[in-house]
Amino acid sequence: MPGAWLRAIVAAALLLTWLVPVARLAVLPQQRALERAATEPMCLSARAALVLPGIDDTGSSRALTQRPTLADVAAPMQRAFDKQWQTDLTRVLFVALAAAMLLFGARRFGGVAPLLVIAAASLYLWAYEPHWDAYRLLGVTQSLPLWWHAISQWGWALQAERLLAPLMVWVALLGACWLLLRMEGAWPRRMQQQVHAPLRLFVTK
Amino acid sequence: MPSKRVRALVPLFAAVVAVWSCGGGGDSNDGGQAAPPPPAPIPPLSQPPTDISGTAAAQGMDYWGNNSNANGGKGETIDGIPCRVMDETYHIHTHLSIVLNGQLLQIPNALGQVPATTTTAGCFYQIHNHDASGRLHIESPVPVNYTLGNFFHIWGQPLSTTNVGGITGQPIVFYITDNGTTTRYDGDPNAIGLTSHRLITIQIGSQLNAIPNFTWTGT
Repeated sequence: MPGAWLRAIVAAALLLTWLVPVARLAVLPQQRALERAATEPMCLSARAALVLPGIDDTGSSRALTQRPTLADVAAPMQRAFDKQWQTDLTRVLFVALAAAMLLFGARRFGGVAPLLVIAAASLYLWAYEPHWDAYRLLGVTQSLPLWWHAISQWGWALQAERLLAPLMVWVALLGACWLLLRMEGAWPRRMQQQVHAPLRLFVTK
Repeated sequence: MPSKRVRALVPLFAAVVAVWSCGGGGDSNDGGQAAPPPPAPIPPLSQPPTDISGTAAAQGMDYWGNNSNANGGKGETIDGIPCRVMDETYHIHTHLSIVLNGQLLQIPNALGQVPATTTTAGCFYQIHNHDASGRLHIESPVPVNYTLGNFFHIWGQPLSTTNVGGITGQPIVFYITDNGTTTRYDGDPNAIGLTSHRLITIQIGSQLNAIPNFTWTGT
């Protein structure tokens, strides 16, 4: 069944598009706050001393106890990261719903599932602004081995985000459009009849 | 058997080939030996300069990603440069541009930084950066003379006249711009000094039309 294959491909493309945000859910708000606190730009030595409690040239325990720990610095940020994590979770649940409806609810939901996939893909384009650097780099390096040298240095998340997602989001988007327009039909037959019947009456009159 | 006409054309063809191989004759005074090509002219500085004061936006295309310092400094002393809490008594900046076939490549952010964790303290090498603009911070309790080689060692990437950050097989030219004057550098790139407001440009592959030009406030 070509329709079933296409639905599977579109659903897989959608899930691959959202791979990094899904994986990122494993990093809980508290960890996100700690990560942020650890990488916060610290050009001023006074601020650096705040978040680097273990480094003290005098080595005095008094200095260590007086300085706040990394967790202390991260604590005020956690509220913002709680909200960010909840937003990410909502988005991922929506994507999962769209993919599940496309795969398992084609007969029941008809044209709704592709619409949800289009919405999920558009949400990705809006929220994450895909980078095409991985593909542009191919033109800059003018050499496949050199291009691979660059790409192979990237972490898996960056590869998924820059190599996989920009392509997959368009596969999902265009595939869903195709399903909507050609294979699944944008309008269920009953709705088409409901719309067309009065029009036909109007035209024949 | 070639016809008479074809045979008549053979000397003419030979003469044309001979003249062509001599470079057209007349103005050639090399006695048949090809002179080495003159070095390409030094490209002008691009105008206007890009202001990268403070924490600036990333400049250029991502090439090395966020994992390129996997072999770099993890807090141990490198080339005699310790990793500690920053002391800005001496604080200058140098800019590094790496351009591959005319495209500026991004120098990854947070090089020379070892982030803190809940159990271990972080630290800064005395050469590090705070953004992906290409500006390098040299911060030390006393004046120091660090080099580009020191920075690449901390980054964990190779640097030579044939290999810059793992990019090989392309012609590489080094330019140094001090006070608006650009010179071509033909020595060991590891010895290029990191001095205040110096622009170091590494051209890989095709010839640059203009040297990337950056400015910032302060030292």
